[in-house]
Amino acid sequence: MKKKVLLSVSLIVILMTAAAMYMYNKPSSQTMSGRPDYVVNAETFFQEFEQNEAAANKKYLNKTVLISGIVTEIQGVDSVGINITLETLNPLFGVSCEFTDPGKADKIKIGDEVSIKGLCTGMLLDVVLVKCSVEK
Amino acid sequence: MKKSIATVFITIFAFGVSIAQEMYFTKNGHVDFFSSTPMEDIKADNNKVTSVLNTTTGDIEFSMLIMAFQFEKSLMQEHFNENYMESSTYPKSSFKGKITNFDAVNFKADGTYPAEVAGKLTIHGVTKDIAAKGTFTVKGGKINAVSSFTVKPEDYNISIPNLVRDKIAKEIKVNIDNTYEPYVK
Repeated sequence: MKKKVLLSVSLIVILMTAAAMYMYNKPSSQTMSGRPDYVVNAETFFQEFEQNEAAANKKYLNKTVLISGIVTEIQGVDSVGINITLETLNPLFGVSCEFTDPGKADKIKIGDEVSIKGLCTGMLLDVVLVKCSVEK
Repeated sequence: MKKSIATVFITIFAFGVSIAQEMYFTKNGHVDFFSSTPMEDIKADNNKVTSVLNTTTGDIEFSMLIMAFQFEKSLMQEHFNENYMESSTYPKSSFKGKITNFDAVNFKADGTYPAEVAGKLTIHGVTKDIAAKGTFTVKGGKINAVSSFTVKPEDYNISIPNLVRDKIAKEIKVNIDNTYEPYVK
């Protein structure tokens, strides 16, 4: 009887350790998986930050968002990936989407209408999304 | 009378144009930090740093979003944002300063210039004076700036629980690598 209990406990400990190690070493993904928390068009999204940054941060910071809009700029950054900017009503700034996995952004051209899923990190001049991928 | 007005006008116009040409800018600046302990190495990269360099005055400013720091391990990124940096409360970090040996840096001529920068660094809502050494490289109309300095988490009220204290270095090495282009409106 004692042996069985010891065996069960050992097994549980091993499983928990394995789970902990898996979680600890789990690599950061390059893109966001799962359903987005918010689906917004780029103009509205940017406007929310422009009008009330604190409220927009509270709503969107660290959330997965799906932003639709027109591509206004594509910039390759050495050894980092690609930045795609979506148009907003602001003439100077937009929604900037960082693709560290460029495979997720190829075939996109300026003027395309796209939907981009990413993690919202806040606003500097542009509103910045990271871990981006293109949604069909 | 007309001549002097014309002179004033031309001077202002020329002044205005030259001012516009002295601002350099990037939206994709690079900042990474590195913590090394016998227990673990931690590294994170941010490639969405915004920075302005005024080559007339030597003023330099940085701004970055904490959540844009990317880690290799997802749990580290989570802990960094939720526990240490409290990014929901302090989403940004910034630096505002000046090149202190500005006379030694000639932004108009291609070349490599060692530089010293001093100013105020704000992390986690706390602002501290810092000084750092770096190098400006002027080439082909662009300016590259690199610098390394160290930061102590405790200085910025970043509390690290005793349980993991040995996993995070007492001094964290921060590296900057920005390439600036002239700011064109």
